[in-house]
Amino acid sequence: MENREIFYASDSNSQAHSAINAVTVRISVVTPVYNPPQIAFEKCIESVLNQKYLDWEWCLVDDCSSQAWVRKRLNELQAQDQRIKVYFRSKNGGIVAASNDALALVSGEFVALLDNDDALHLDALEEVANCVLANPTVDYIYTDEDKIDEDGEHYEPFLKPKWSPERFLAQNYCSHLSVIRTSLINKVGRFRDGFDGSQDYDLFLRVTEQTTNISHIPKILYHWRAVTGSTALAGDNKLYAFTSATKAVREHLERRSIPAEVGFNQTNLMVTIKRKLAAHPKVGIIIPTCGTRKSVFGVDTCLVVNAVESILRKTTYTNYEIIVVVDEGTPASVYRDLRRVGRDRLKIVEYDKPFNFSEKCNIGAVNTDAPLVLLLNDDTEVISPDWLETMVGHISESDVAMVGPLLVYEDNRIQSAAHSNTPTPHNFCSGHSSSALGEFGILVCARECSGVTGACALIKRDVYFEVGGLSETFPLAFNDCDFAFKVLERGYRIIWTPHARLFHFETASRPNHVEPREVQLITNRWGRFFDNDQYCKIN
Amino acid sequence: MDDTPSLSASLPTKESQTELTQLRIQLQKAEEKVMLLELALMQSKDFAIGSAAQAGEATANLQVTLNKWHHVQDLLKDANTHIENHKKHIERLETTLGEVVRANEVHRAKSKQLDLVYESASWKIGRFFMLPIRILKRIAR
Repeated sequence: MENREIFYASDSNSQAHSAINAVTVRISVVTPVYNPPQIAFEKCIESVLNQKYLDWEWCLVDDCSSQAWVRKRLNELQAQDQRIKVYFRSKNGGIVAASNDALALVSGEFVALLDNDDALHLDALEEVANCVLANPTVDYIYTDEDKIDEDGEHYEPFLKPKWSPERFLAQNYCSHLSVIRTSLINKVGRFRDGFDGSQDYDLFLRVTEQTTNISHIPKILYHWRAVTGSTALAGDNKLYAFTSATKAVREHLERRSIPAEVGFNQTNLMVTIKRKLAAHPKVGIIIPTCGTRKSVFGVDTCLVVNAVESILRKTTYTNYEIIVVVDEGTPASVYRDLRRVGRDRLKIVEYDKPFNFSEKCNIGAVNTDAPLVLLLNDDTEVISPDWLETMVGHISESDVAMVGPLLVYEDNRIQSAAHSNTPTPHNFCSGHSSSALGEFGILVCARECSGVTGACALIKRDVYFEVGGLSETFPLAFNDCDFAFKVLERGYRIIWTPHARLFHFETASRPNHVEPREVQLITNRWGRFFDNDQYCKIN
Repeated sequence: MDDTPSLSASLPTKESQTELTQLRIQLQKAEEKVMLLELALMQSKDFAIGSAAQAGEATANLQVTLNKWHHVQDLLKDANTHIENHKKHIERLETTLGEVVRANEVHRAKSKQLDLVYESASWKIGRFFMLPIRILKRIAR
């Protein structure tokens, strides 16, 4: 892998070829061809031939196109540039067969997948080569992408998150441009029959089972042409592709021994996964409270009693206890109502110091021996009966430390769909409709995130203690953001899921006030990560 | 059979119960202590992690500042080069200016000499004698 060099476009092809002899990062562009729109195909050719980087080869396989110009043009191309390899299939075999034939022509170290009507950015292969040089063990590289309409206008730029395996189970967000180490493609058995329309997704899933060396280049290097009938124009144009995607994910989870029900949501075109729990570990639900009352749905309500009552009434998960940490001076009626509602599941812990949310949560955590602790605000109410099963399902993966649900206001607008650190830590998509899909479905799929709100967060007890719990130097705000940073810094994943849903009657119990001291402190600790959220990128 | 427990049997039970109660109290106190220690441990861990984070932040800020400093140094270097070039240019200009001043002085002296020549009687006599030739030249032109 040493002594690598990158060669850039020169005026002369011969100069380029002589230079290439010394290059070790050869990228093989693989393109199955079948009756492409002629203009789009010409643009595709132009985009490859004009690459700044020169050490590429282009493996094209014609899947017995019926249009005569295709063969003629491919022959011209082959004659024009010795880096272009063309193979003509004698009979039409479909995209999987054609793609595998193209892979058989590959001599490069990496394979870049390009559709016959799409286009690469001029810098695409150069950026990929730079990425390989910077990280020689990388196995899979994906880039941002956009779409081009029939007039050549670019639109819908998709600024992707960094490698997000949970999101990848719901949608093939990596898609274009994907570049994979050739040896790995061969190891996993190339493309498979039976996954038409999602054969690439199936391949990526099998590749990601074999490696964690996955890099994202945050640049738009692929232009997906939206022509009538293509998936780019409207996802539901190729529903069979989503059936294949569901099958691919189901088999992927089986191979990873993750028992789950896998389905497909036709409304938002996402693969849906419901993990089947192999074990039901005890969850210690910690609710700090001072017994505040508020009008909820027009009825005067004691918030904590309502929260506890909703847990007991709606939750289908059975192995949990509730630890309510109560401020000194809380009315006796609250204790009485809590004991009446909570019965044997309830433990009341008294707190007699000035208000400190973090300390109250920490006290709750030491008062439970459950392997999972769930921080819950008293101004919440359960909506999804299987909220705990959903969250426990995610946290059962070894590197997941924290899981958060979708929290909605009383009027069903989103209160929190995880945290985003761009520009500064805040609740992502707060105020949006809870039925919105979000950009590229970000609001309807479970995904990795930079943090979840402490209003409802399931955390592994071990990790909670490992990172020192919620920092008591943040008595009011940012304690959850700080906690998330601590967790992420240790290499754990944090998952947010829209499939567990609760009401959050936010700031009903305490005024929405942020201390300047806390702002300063969070900035002093983690300011370098602000304004560059790796999971929530908004155009 | 007599169901009433014997006095000798009830006495150790009472003692055991008292002992058990005391043990329970001790256990509860121990548990409370453990909890307090756990809380203290958490605080210490948070302090350590928080301090490391602050150090990381300070390092990152230092790096940013260093990068800025390097940038400013580069700018300063460029500016110094620019100033040096300007100084050399000024020197060249001053030399040129000196040459111009000297040339001006020479020019002035020559002009004075020329004025003296124009005002001399010999020049005027010569001019007078050359008048017909000048007229003829003008006509010829």
